[in-house]
Amino acid sequence: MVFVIFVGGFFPILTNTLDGVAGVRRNYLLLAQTLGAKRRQVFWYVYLPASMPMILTGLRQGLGLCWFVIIAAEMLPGAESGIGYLLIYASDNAAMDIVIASMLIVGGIGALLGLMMRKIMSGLVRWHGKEI
Amino acid sequence: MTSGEINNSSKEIPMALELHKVGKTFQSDTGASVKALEDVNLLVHQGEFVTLLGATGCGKTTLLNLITGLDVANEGHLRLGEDLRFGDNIAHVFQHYTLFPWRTAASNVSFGLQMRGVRRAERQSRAVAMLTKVGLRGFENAYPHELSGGMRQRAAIAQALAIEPKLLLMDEPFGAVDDSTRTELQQMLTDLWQENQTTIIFVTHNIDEAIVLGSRVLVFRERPGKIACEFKIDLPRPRDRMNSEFTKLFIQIRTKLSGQLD
Repeated sequence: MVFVIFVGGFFPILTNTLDGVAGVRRNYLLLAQTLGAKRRQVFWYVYLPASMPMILTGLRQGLGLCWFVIIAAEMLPGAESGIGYLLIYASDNAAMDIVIASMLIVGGIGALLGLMMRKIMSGLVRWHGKEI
Repeated sequence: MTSGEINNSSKEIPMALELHKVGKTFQSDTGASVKALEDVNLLVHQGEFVTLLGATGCGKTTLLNLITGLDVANEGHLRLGEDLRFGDNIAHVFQHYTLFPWRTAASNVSFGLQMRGVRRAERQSRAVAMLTKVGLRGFENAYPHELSGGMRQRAAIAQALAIEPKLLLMDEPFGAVDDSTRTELQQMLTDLWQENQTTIIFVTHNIDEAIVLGSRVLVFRERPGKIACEFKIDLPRPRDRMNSEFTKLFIQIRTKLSGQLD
């Protein structure tokens, strides 16, 4: 299960972080250097905060993907518990009420996770999207 | 009157910057070489306020980049005053992206101090003092996107001055603000310069601005970038744009500049 989560979360986080770091404006690096920042300081005080919005976007996408990957994994044969398992089990036994309830819960939790990440993001990177 | 001659009368004032036959050629992707600067000779003494005037794309920015060490000259040599070090006491104010958008005004101003390991409490009090000096008291916790263009340039100047630079390079810092804000900023900069006696090299394409600010105006020629002539400005500060001496200089420089276009 840990492996499944890892695979689900890894790539969106990686690609977004890379995009974020590559997108740091050269001007900010120059500015930091003229103000006396050393290499290590440029990393901590420019690269990291400048790419923070993209890193958080990666985390958000990764988290969403993880959630659905977990459900999918629970649906595979061999799983013995979990909401994905419940959904398949109920559908095998023609319990439509449980199937629909499971679907709503999966969707609801997914949406909630997304919303939560969005809230965290807008709190952490207030400046994002309002670049000057 | 060329810039090459060394002025013996000001020998006792230490030199801040000396350029001798400096040239810079860029290689474009297609293989063609573009001569950005040619035979630039310049001597700046400590405490001088020099304005570089010329059309956009005449190599003024390249020259500043050579001085800060962001770029290297192909020809000639460039000498900085003994105690001047890039990343230490040379500050650079750009036209755009002058502040870190993820930091508040105060924490932008104290960035240089933070890099030097100054403690948080002292950083904060020095940042507030600096912001007060540039007229941004009460905006310590504002983010750059919450400030107007003129206020951002004020904060940028505070950020540069916070590291107590001995040489301040400014690359069209007031290019993106409206006229009346520009006039205010010019006045503020003049006051700060008179107070601190920092050496300032100020790039602009605005004749009026060059005369209002500089103790010397160096007029650049285009392609290749070269100092065409130099005007010494002895007008008392604050300078009156309606003064006849001022307008005479303006017309002289204007004529020099338009003469290049032919």
